Amino acid sequence: MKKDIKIAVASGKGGTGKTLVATNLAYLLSKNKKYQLFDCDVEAPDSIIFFSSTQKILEKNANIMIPEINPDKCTYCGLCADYCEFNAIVIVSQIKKAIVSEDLCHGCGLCSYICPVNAITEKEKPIGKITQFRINNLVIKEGRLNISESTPSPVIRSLKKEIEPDNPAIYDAPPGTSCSVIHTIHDVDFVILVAEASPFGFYDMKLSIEVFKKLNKKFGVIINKSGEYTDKIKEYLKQENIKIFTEIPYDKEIAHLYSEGKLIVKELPHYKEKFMELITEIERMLQ
Amino acid sequence: MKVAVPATGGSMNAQVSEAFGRCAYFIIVDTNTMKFEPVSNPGVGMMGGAGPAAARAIAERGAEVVLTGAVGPNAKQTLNSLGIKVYTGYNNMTVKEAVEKFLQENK
Repeated sequence: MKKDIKIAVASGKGGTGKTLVATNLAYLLSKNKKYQLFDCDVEAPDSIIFFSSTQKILEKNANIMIPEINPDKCTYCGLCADYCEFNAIVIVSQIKKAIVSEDLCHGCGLCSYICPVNAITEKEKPIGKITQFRINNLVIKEGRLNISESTPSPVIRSLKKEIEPDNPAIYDAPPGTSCSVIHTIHDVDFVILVAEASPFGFYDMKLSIEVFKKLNKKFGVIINKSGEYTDKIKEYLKQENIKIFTEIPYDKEIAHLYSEGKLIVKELPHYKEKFMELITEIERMLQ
Repeated sequence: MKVAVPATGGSMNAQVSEAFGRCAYFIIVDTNTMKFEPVSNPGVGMMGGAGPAAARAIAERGAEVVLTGAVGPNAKQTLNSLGIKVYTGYNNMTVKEAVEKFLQENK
């Protein structure tokens, strides 16, 4: 495996076991070398729970740039409002009003770029926090969207700027297939897709696979909470010629340890073996 | 004065819409003449920011007052910034009834 590999752990459905896989994998991989674990699930970051006695090494705001419209320069032409994908700007030329809805702004900067009279400047607005923790060889980098904010992607973008490019990294992705997932996985070398053995899990897994294919990502699947629905998923993946790594059973002991914020590879030796095998399989696949 | 009412249809007899940003039409009523103009709501099919888009549409037609069942936070903020007064609680009635109620209560 190349020394600076970047691996994302993603899912379609929420609650399939992304964080379970990401944290246990990061723990094992960081035993002998420096590793980074990015918690990109900024609406509900929880990777840090699984690591005790960590040391906080950095905390800062994640900002977006939002527009300010200078009424002395604005001609109320409405170009900025027309181009804003999110309706964050309202221009009413009849009554000479230019209004910015800060909560709707994604901070893309198109409005200030497009304004023909340079009436728009940008100011920083904090919408989240970036925190870094260290434990032994592992640095956990967490993004956390502020309560009431609705745009996770800029926080993920800020978080990913904290990368040490020469060191390998695991990215714990948000659930789903929307912008926040794309921002997390677009530049990684490999994606581990954690699928849940249920009809809902199967359906969302297929959506994720579509996204990975569009992005030309190398990926493989872990089937978690394996049970009676596993065969259907396997059949589909074999048909599609998609790599199946391993199955994690629907195991009460895992749920118990997880609820206590413990890592299963530390507590249960047979799961450590499973995860070691997973690492070997990924290595083999990337050769 | 021009009053804007979110509505399920394009006439004075349409029901007042429960939503502001996602209504099908706005009925802009001139309270001096009781003449009305139906306006399609550009916000109805939008992914996000429907409220501000809807607010813009009625502001461009000179509305000074909105009578609605409820209004979302983004729409409310934009309407406030535009100087348009918002009256909520106009549920289960036609546009005509809403305007008459408003005129009765604000003589």
